Order: sequence, then structure tokens, then C-alpha cells
Amino acid sequence: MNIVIPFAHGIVGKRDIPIPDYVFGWAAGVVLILSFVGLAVLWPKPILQPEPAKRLCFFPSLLVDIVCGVIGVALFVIVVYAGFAGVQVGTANLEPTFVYVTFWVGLAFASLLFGNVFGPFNPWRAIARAVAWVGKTVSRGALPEPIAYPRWLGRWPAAVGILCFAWLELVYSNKDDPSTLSVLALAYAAIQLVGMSIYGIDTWTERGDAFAVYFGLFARVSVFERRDDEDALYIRAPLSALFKLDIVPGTVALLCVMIGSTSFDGFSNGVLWNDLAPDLQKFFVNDLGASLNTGLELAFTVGLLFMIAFVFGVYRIGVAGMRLYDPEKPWLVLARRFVISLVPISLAYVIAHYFSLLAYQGQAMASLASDPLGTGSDLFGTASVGINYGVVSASGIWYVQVAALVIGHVAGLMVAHERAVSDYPDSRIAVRSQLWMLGVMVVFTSLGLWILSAAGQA
Amino acid sequence: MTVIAHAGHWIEGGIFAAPVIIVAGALAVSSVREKRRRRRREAGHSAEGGRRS
Repeated sequence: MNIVIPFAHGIVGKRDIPIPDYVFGWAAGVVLILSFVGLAVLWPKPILQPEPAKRLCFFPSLLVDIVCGVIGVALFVIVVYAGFAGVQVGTANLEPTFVYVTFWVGLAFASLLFGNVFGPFNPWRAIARAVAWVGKTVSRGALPEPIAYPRWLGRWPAAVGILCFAWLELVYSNKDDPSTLSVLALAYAAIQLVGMSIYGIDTWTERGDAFAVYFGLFARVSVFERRDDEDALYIRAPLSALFKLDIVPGTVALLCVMIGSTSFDGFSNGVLWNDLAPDLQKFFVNDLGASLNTGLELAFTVGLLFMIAFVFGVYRIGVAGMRLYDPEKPWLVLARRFVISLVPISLAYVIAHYFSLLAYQGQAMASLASDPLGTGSDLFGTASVGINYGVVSASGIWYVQVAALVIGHVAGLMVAHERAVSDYPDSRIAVRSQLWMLGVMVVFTSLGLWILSAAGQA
Repeated sequence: MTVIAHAGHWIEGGIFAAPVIIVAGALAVSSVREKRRRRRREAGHSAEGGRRS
């Protein structure tokens, strides 16, 4: 039986590091434990709430929204058009690289560095705002009020959206097909426009638009914040905006999907999964009568869901342990209170797992921009620019991965600690309860490094 | 069968779990202590309540 493993994301070569990989895992564990002790001793009171922020400069919000919105819509149209009109080869067409590298990975990095970058470029939001403006101008009055967004729906649409995108990226065998991506992009845009027309543009963008929610969460780690009411750009303490997040239903699920799907991306490139996947595939093919391709997709679906469930299980145990010190609070209340500590972890996983993809495959955008359809055009004279694999070594990538995971998990500890010292008047209870979050962080750090190490050896 | 056949990989990966095992042990000890502490507190409260009544 021929087994076809889908295109692996992380491109990792042979590393040349002086000590075994697992020593990095142990060192990361020690760093986390020392950080925990440091927080317990040096951080007795909340310092990130209320958010410390300082005005940086004037920021023309409306102008930026209009200019970036036009650029966002134009890019969306070009990418979708390229998907339909260009050659149907994933590597030669602009669309797959733009969607999986520039958009999905690049914007996550940009959100960390510059704040909510996706907001002004969001094409469906820009279209909805333009339509609303035209509607108001033509009707010379207020548009009908949107329907109240159900509280129970929370961020569930975003969680489902990210799960679907993860499935497309990690499981679906035809994920690099440009025309398929174009159809899906149009379908996603249509869903967003319907959601915004029913529940209001801002409400839907903050709750239901999977990508806006996803990048918006990462932007809360950033130090930059625009304040539209003042037309000003502010600089704030990193992580502090997380404490202003409205924790609604679906937020825990969303974070588990974010971490679990990234974990599975790395795990599916490892030796263990490559040993297990064929057996799972055989089960679906021989016992359930699926085709080889469907069997493989089902096997990967099981792996993806298992990893998300595993992440949820670890967090569930951590929160259950915290309840020892706060038995009055229901599990779900505690889980939602502390879920913001998973945001830096999710971001760390994204940086660690996709840094190599961005560093290498991101360079392909130079040639694809000149030849978006793959038809041999050279619009900007960069069509022949290749990928320089020497831009960063395999060892360099490993160090970035380790640093991202350690910093991200220490940041997660800090967020959880800040929440605990603000929630529990007794600082001893606050510290003891956070022992369990330390456990969660150590599990996720060790898991992340093991996955990356295994992927590097596969 | 699959799990046994690939045991080598599980064991090789298990070395990464050393910090997890240490922290899990610390958590187990801390939980037992907290439960004892709470039992003592509850016993103290009920004894105090008994004296009052």
C-alpha cells in the first residue's frame, strides 16, 4: 500500500548543536520553575491591571482604515483571481503560498510586532463598512439595528472556523489546489458578510470572524494599541491587553484548537506519527472500506482531534488542580478566568513551528508576486528570485524554536500569576494555585520541544 | 501491537518528559498537603462549633 504523507510545513535540516535536544527540554523546565519562584517572590500585587499605557503619536484611524481596507480588498481579489485563472500547481500559483505563509503565518508574527495589523486590512470588514456607508448615505438615515449577538454563541464560530482551516491545512489532501482555495475563500467571505449584516460589523468581527479573532488575540500580546476615539497610537506593557479580553463561551475551545492544531502540525512531521499513521490508515481502508486517500485523511483527522483533546485535557487537569485552592468556583469559571494565559503559549507554538516556513517559503513571495498566475510573467522583475536556504541554519532555527517556547511559556506563567494575585487576596493561595499552571506550562513546553525535536529527526 | 512495535520511539521521546514527571510529583505532594491542611481546618472548625454548642 502506498502511503502519501501530505506536504510537511516545517522545513528542518540536519542540526549541528553541541548537546542533545532533550537537555534543552530539561533546561526549559528549570527556567520555568525558576520563573515561578521569581514571580512568587517579586510579583505580590497586580501590575498589568489597569493597563499601563502611554500615548506615542497621532494616528489617523479613519484614513488608515480606508487605505488599508482598499489594499486588503485588492489583495483578496488578486489572490482569489490567481487561484481561478492561474496554473493549478500549488508551488507555481500565488494563492497557496499567500494563504498558508504570508497570511496565516506572516500576520501572526506581524500581530505580535505591530499590534492588530489584520484589523484595518480585513477585506470582508472593509467591504461591509463600505456597504454600510453607502447604505447610510443613499437612505439618508440610520440602517436597521443589528440583532443582539447571543451570549452563548461567544467565540464558538471562531473556534469552528480555525478548526476548519486547520483541517484544510493539515489534513485535506487537495489543500494546495488554487481553485479550491479560491472557492473556500469566497465562501468564507460570504459567511463573514452574512454574519456582519445580522449581528453588526464590529460584534461579528470580534466574535465570529475566525481570522480576526485569531490575529486579534495575538495582537493583545503586542505593545502597540490604536485608540480610535483619540486618533492616537499608544504603547503599553506587553500582555496587558489580555486582561481586557471579554471572556465569552468558546474562548477555551478556541485556544485549545489553536494550540492543538499547531502541535499536530509538528507532531505529524515526526517519526512517531509517521509510524502510527499508516496503521490508522489501514484500519480505515481495510476495516471501514475507505479509499486510500480518504483513509489517510481520516487518520490525520483523528490525529488532529486527538491533539486538540490532549491540550484541552492538560488544561482541564491544571484548572481542576487549581480548584483545590478555590473549591467554591465552578471549573468553567476558573477555566475562563485563566484561559488568557494560553494566548502567549499559542503564539509561542506558532513562532516555533512556523518560523522556518516563514524564513524559507516566505521568500517565494518575491517570485510569486511577479508571476502570480504561474504563466511566466515578470511584473516586478523578481520572477527568477529563488529561495536562499542559507538565510538561517537548521541550528539557528532550533535556537529560535527553543527561545520562542521558553519565552512564550514564561509569559503564560506571568499572565496566570497576574490573574491569580488579582483574584485571590491571600498571596499564599495565589502562589499555591499557580503550581498547577506551572505544571501545565511544563507539559506544553516539553511537548513542544519533543515535537520539534522529533520533526527534526524524521 | 502498534504501540509495542513503536515502543522505541515512545521511550526515546519519554526522556523529554523528565521535567513533567518531577513537576507532577511536586503537584501530587502539594495536593496531599493541601487536602490534609483542609481536613485539619474543617476538624478545627467542627471542634470549635461543638464547644460553642
